[in-house]
Amino acid sequence: MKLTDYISGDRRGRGAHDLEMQALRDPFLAEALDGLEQHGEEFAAVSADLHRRIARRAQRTVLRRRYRRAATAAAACLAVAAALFAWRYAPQEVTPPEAPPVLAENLRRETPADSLRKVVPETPVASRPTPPRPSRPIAVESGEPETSDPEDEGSFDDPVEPDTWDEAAANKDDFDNVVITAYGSGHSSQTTGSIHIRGTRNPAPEAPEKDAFSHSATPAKFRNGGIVEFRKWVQRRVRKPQKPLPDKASGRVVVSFVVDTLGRVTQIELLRVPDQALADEAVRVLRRAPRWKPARQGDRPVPMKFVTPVDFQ
Amino acid sequence: MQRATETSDEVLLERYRTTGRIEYLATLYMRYAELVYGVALRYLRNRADAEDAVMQLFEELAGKVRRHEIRCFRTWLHTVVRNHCLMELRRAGKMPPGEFPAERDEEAWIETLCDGDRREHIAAALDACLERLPEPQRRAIRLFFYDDCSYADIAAATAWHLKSVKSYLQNGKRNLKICLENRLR
Repeated sequence: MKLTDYISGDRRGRGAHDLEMQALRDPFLAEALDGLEQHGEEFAAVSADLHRRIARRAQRTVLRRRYRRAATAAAACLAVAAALFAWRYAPQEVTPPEAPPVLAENLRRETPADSLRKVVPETPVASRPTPPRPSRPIAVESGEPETSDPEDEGSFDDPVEPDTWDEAAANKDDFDNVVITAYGSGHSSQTTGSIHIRGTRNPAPEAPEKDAFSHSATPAKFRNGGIVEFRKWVQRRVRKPQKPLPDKASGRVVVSFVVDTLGRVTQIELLRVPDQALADEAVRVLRRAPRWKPARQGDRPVPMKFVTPVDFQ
Repeated sequence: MQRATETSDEVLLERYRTTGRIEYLATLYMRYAELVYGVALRYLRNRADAEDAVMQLFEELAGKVRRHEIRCFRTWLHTVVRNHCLMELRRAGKMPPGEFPAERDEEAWIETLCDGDRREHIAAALDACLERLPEPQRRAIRLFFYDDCSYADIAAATAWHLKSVKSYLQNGKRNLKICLENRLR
């Protein structure tokens, strides 16, 4: 007799007796019967439920087993695909996180004295895994047609000394030779942001520089040229004013900008503004400049600052 | 009780051990689920806990089966259930139920009582001892062992309570055993 029938039935007859007899021999059954006699309400329902639950629980393991097999197979395929992919395509260069340009394209009207004394706009220190390198500015000449090196391959070894601005000197055509600084790591403390106007190059490190530039540094490139090309591009696009200007100096706006690690022209600053309209026009054109190829130090792109005149005459 | 057509416990167990497929273990366990539940009910004394015990034991079963050598699954499982319930009771600070009255050494003796052929063998002694039993015990013994009545049947026939039926039977068995042992020495 089935246990459920015994418990829920009248427990009479041969079948019941045989079960009871069996209980005499089987302590397992005996104890179970004892428990069921005391608390065996709805035993048939409970029994069916337990069977279902056990089956479901076993099914979960079966599914998990199948899933695990499928997942392993899928993972194996993915691993193979990933390996092939990685092998096929060389890994991209990792560009270091760029500090947000605080004054990106910020126009400042200021006297040359102010601008040159001021430290380059602070950008928050970007956390880098590599230890910060001392900012060895890359000194390059500005893009005047007179300069003989079209590729701006000036010497890279000369950092620029902070110098006081000489107003008188600024009025001369010394902007033709402008030293350009680049930032090593973007840390504000390490940038000098200063420009030495006379074309002289004095090594004057702020801190003892070990060198970060001794291995290959390249300046930012603009359409296979550099600042020279860029100046040409700018000059082609600036709209000349209607009325003629008194002299060459008053037709010239001096701007500085930074080519960031992505090659964008940013942090446009006005260093010499004889006329507001001209300045606006210069900035307008600069804003629409296409991207450069950023300067590189070793294999890392680094920002590079340029100073250039824009002529309207 | 297993029909000849069913796979035996041991075969199922072996299949589980070799293939590792949980389906075999589940089939085996489902044969005993009710017994596990019943025993758990006896110790834990409430349905919810007993149901939990059944499922919990199933979770642990795979590990245990792999770890232990099992000669007879039924008896092994009984021990496992009992230990699990006792541990649960201990953890909850509750008292275990009384020792179950089934005595092991009675097994053979009960077999004798049940088996007609064997009864023949000691027929004379048995009859004599039966006569010496108190009336209720003798009646209960005869109805149960000779007439194949169930406890309920006996209760119906004698108007005794179920508890009395069981009590008479138990005592009757004991007395018979002692008497027979004396006689057959």
